[in-house]
Amino acid sequence: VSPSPFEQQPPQWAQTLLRALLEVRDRDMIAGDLLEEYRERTLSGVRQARSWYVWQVLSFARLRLAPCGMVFRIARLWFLAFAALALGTLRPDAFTPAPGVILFLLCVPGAAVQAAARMSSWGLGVAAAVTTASLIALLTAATVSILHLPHPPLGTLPSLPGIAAIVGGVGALFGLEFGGRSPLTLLAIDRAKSV
Amino acid sequence: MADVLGTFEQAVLLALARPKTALGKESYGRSVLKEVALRLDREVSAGAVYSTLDRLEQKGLISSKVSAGDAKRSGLPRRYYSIEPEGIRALNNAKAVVDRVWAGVRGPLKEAL
Repeated sequence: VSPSPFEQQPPQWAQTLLRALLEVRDRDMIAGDLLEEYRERTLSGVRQARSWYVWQVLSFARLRLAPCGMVFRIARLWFLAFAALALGTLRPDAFTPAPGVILFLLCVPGAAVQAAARMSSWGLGVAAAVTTASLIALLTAATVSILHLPHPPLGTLPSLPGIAAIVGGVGALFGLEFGGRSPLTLLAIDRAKSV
Repeated sequence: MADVLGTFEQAVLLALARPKTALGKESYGRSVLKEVALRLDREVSAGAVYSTLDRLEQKGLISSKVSAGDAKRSGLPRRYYSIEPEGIRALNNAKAVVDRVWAGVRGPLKEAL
């Protein structure tokens, strides 16, 4: 039984999502390739063809989200460095302004420099800095609450991501000088190595 | 020395270098996708194939040109890829590396010595 005209079209939401995920340069070509393959697959079963199409669209979504994953991994690394230094080698009251500020000003731009250098993107560098600062703010809030520190800097915590955006922006400019590869290139390399 | 190609990159490049792919001589994205899946013996994601094609093009190993589509794809255009001499050299280099690594070893290896 030949598929009906309705069945010869992939799910509308998936087509819309695919076009939103693709660069303008590739949009029509890739959408056309997948449509052609989808239509051939409907001859063997519409349900399987739809599943295949949705899976392919999600593969592009994963590519788009890959830079977010890399940003988070870099931010987590610098946050853990901050946490180890603040909680491990310094006094429990390390979150009172002086040492906390110094560590903050080391770790946040560090994340920005690394992210910008690795992914050749100023915006991703700033995102790494803001993410690191947000994690630090959460850790600080938890620590001063649990330890009942005498001068908890809780009031300054909401401003940390904003400060991080500024110092991270400067750090990311330095990071760009070191060059690097685009997130998609890094992902392709990782994928090639894993095959 | 340039980076040696990974297995996935080799599969994509070879799909363009072979005289006939799964869809004949039409080396556009869909045929590369099918050929790579056939050679690797598993489903592959279009995202991985197209990002690899994009990267290989940026490195000058392949080139592409856009052509008009037909009714099978609702008139959407196709991008045809072709391998460049630099791509052939990269493939030969990758094979030479594998051959050197395996030189003198007769496979398959036994699991227990």
